[in-house]
Amino acid sequence: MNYKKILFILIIIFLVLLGGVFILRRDSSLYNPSNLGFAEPVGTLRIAQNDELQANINTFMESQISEGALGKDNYHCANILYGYDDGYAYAWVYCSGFILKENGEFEQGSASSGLSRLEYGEDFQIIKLEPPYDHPPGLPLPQPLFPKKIYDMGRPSSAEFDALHQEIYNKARSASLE
Amino acid sequence: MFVAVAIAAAVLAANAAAPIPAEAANSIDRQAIVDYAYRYWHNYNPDYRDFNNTGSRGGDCTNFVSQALRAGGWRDVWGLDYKSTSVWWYWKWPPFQSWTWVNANKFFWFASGSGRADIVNISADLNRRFTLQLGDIVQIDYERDGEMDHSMIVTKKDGYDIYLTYHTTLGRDRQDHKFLDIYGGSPGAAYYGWHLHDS
Repeated sequence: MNYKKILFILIIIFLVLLGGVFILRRDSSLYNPSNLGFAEPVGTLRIAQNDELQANINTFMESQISEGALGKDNYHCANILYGYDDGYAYAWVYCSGFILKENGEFEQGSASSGLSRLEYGEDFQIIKLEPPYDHPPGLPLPQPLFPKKIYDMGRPSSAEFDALHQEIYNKARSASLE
Repeated sequence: MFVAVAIAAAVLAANAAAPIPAEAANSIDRQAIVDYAYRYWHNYNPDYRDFNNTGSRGGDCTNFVSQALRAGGWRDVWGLDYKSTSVWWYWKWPPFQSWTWVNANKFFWFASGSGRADIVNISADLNRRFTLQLGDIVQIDYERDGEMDHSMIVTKKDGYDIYLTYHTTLGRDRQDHKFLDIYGGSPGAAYYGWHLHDS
């Protein structure tokens, strides 16, 4: 095969790839994260740990368990606190119920996992989770919730998520022994 | 020539769908759909694009449903018109997909014309939810405007309800969430099920 043919094939491949990139860029506007917008922090945004706030988030979220949840009698939460400003805590919260089987093993029940904004008051006590916990799944949020800096921190890594899972699994195990 | 063949081979290899077990090649493996949903409800499959928190309707929900259906045996339906509701495919690299793969409403129309599932109008009679089986799909039209907004997978059944697993725009992925809880939050919405054909 001569060089002209090789060049022709390479040009065709290049054009196909170029066309693909063009389509991707055009359609990506349909699924653009910036459509969601970002919230302004209340006062100063601190990217810092706060053990009291972190513990209060777990306690509050454990109280939000739905009546219909599987494993609601052994329901626990753990979180990664991304930061907080003067009104809200921003955390990745993971909660799950556990069902104790006859063989002594746990089966995971209803669970949730996600970036959450929680309003807090005096002594870092959590007042409410925003948006309302029963916000219809799949519908866009009524307003931006997260400052860009928080949003950009993204989802926990697999290792971080496994650590969260282990933490609530240990809580479930301890509770079952009490 | 070698370079061209190597590039083509690399692209095709990158886009090879996950192998489907021989016994599931021509039938739906419902347990595989459930297993996939449980495996990736929080831990997103890196083999696919992530549409969560994109601000678009439904977010990642229909992408997640499509992935699970493919894992359960649904084969891609290829076609160049990626906006068409008669195609349903995912191309791994460069990553791209038909709109039916990721858009709840487009998926609805693909499913209705695909011959792969029967529609179950749950809104007309709530008891019809009991006819759904593991691996079947539930979709919601919140405003009853004829546009689907959300898609979920039936992952558990008990005597009183069905439980659903899904991805959402909220970044709050719920596993085994009860249908009646979701219905209670939006009783004015329209709910449809897709009962998958077993073969």
